Amino acid sequence: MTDFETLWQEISTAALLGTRRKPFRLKDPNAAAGKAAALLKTDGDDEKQLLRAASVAAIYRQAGQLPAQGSPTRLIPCPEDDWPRCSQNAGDCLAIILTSGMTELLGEWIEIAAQHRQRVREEHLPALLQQQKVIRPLRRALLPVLGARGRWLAAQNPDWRTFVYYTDERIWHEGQQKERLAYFSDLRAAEPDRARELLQATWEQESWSDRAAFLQVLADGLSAADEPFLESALDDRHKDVRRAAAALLVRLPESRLVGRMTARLKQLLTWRSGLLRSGLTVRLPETCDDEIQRDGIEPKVAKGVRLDVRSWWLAQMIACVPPAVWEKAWKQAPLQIITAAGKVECEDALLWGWSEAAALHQEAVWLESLILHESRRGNHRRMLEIFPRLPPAVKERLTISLLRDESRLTFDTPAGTCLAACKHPWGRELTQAATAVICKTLEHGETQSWRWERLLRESAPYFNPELLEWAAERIQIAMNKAQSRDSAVIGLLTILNFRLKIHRAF
Amino acid sequence: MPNAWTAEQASRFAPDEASEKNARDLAVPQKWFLLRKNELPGCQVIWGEVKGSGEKPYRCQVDLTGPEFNCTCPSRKHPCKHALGLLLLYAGQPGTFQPGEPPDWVAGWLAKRSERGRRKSAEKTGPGASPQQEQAAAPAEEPPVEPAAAQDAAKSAAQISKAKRAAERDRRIRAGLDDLEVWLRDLLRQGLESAQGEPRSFWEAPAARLVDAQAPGAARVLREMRDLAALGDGWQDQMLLRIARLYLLMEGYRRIDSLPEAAQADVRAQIGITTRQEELEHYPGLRDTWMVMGREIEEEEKLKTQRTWLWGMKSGKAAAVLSFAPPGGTLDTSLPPGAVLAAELVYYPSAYPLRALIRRRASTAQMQPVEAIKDLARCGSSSLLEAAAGYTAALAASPWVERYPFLLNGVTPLYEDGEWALYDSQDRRILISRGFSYGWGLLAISGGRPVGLFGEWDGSRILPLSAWTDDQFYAFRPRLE
Repeated sequence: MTDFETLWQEISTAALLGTRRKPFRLKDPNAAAGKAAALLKTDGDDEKQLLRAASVAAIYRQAGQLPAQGSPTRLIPCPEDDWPRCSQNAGDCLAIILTSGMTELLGEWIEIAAQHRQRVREEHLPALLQQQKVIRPLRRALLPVLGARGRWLAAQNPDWRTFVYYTDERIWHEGQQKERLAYFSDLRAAEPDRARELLQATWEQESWSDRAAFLQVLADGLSAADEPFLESALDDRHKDVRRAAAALLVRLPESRLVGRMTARLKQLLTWRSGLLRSGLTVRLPETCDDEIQRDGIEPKVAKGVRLDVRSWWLAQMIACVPPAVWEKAWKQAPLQIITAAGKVECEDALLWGWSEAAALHQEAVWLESLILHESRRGNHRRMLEIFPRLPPAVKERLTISLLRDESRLTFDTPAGTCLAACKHPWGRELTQAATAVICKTLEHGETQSWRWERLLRESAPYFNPELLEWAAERIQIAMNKAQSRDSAVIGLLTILNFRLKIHRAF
Repeated sequence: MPNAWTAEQASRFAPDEASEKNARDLAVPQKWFLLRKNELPGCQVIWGEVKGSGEKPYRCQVDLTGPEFNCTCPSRKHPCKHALGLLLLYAGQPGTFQPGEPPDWVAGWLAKRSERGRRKSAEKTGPGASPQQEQAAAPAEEPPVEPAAAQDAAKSAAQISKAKRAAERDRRIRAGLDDLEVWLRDLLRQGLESAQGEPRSFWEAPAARLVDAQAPGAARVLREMRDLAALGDGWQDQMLLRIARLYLLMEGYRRIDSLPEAAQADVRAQIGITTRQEELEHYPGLRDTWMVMGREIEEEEKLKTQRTWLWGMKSGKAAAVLSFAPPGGTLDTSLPPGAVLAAELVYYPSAYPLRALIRRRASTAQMQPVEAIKDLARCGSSSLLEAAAGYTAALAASPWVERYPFLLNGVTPLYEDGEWALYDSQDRRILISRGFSYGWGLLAISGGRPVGLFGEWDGSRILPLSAWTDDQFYAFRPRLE
């Protein structure tokens, strides 16, 4: 310690303790160098001396402080920027998306940036990476747009670390759970077989929750090559793992599980063809034994399902078999099969199972036939439950035809409900039809409920990007004509114009 | 003048995030009953009427040269969402504004503003004089002209009463400082350790006494001590530094007549005696090309203070331009960080002058920030030791320098042991202020490489206000904005 530091300690301690407890006398006033020493007079009472000494020494010390010598752990600097940074305007749009809660537009921003091969600006990286919940599902699309700099930054922060490209398999063996999961997803997307083999090699050492999580990743790039491994996972110790494996096997029409389920069902369902009476006979399963449970059938009726227990087993079994199987076996069109189900007692179980299976295999004809059948039964609730599961193109076609007959749009008509279920980027035709009906509604001039506002707000991100300006203009003209100040439409216009701005900012 | 406004520029004037969002909702033509624009000589203005909560629409106007905002709504925020929304709308869709003659309410406002502009040309407020009072005092009509003789008589009478007032204030300050000395002695007799546990009133009482004694500057130091008492880690050193500044201030004021002129000015400023702008008139100005390096806003006793730091590209001198706002008032927005302007500044007298005001402003945007960045490399310190030497010199000249401008070239930010630090090329290190919330942003800008950085050094930590690389200048938003 230098002489001055000793002096400072002396003063500092005295000030802390107070002169009442310990009288103050400077031991060596000359310890402060030069002019400062001359100022440290020793006259006056204790407090005066301490006050003067503290004042001179504190300023002297403050002025004399030097930046400490450190030994930094040097970072490996960020590699050369691969993509140029996006424009200031595009960056400002991103900042608005992040700060004003319009995160539903983030995917679109990322997509446009990727098309232009431009990256997020430096200053917006932390705000973006902090929104882990929002960006996690967008990880793969976001990675290139982060640019070399963004990925470098993500690697520096433990909370952001999965937003990097993995080049080294070591992360699989040494990384944390979320890093391993990200690595595994990337590998699965690039080399599906290699990913599965990697997982099989460490399978026995993984915790059950990891096993279940990794299995779910296999949904990406699922193929018949995965079948033997998944079949073996049906014997896993943990139920969640068994369920995950069964859910994947159901998606493989050639899997042994689907084969077993088909064989079981063929015992229970029979089609009788006759000149006078053709139709379906159904026998309900007697038991739900271990074999069936191994194939993923849940013995207890799930919450919210209104079926007796044996119908429930049947419904689940039907959900496991691609509906095309029945067309082929019985040589009947879907609508005929579904109509025939109307004559059996456990109709609800059959319809439930087929709608699940048709949705899983995206069998548009089956889904449409199911909707038609439910509409004949007058069961609108079920119709609307099945509609969102249609392939987007079919949804659009049906919605357009409904919209054309409407003179105004409301949330509670089929047209409105179907439009609300079109949660995918719209084609030109649907955008045009929706715009037209919104304009017609404005001409009607009635104020509508909060549900109308929600319908418009939730639709805004899906308007076709090429028609944004057109749609905004049309709606604007209709508003002016109707002298409307409908806040829902204004909200819609704000988002459409903002999206247009994003597109133009690149 | 073409419409050079972008929504981003406009939204930078938002007082907070909520206002920005509300303003954006208003930035659609349907919400407005009326939208007009006009180009007056040297003054472009837009105005509009928007539905308010009452029957009458709010009248809202933006002078685009400032910009300056005005609205008849009762909002305490400035600019309010209507005025900001109007500007945002203009930025996005200028075509929706029809050209028109300004009605009386617009013309009247403009006239009032330009008159006030002539009167004060820049800013003359200090912590003592609230800008609100000043606005209220700005009369719409000129006082009647008096005969010359009467004017002289009035002048000398005014001078006499001014001297009387000054003597009275001096008496009060001295009495206040005597009480302060008694209190400080008590503090040291009791010891800082036990003072740390005292309630707020322990510090508040002597602070209030000093405000009564018309020494608000000294009161401010006491309030800093009050806040320090609540801090851990290293608070004693900071506390002793405040005690030192108070003691030196006390002793300095008692013998103020024996001090050099510049030191006298420092003591007066520290006590809280404001220097009026007129008093600066006979001081020489400094003409230079100034770059706006950054801003910081602080709030004390509900008064907001904004420091905008300028750097003279030729003189290599730093200057802090202050702006004050009471609750609901606005801070000066005419000096956006990154801007480069040719201007004549005049410094407030001090043994180490930093505070300044803009006397004359020739132009803005004379140089692109990117060009200015190259010049910055020649201006600043290339090592932390060099920068620290500047701080030492400043404290040697005036012990009351609290925030010293550091313009650093080639420093690398690093996160270690839960703290952000800056390293120079010789591995000297300083810590970044704990209140700085853009550490990761700074790291993103640097990419692990040295950057240029401007910040306020308080002797132990630096608060970065801006940073730059070869091709970009980034300003960090003040915490209180």
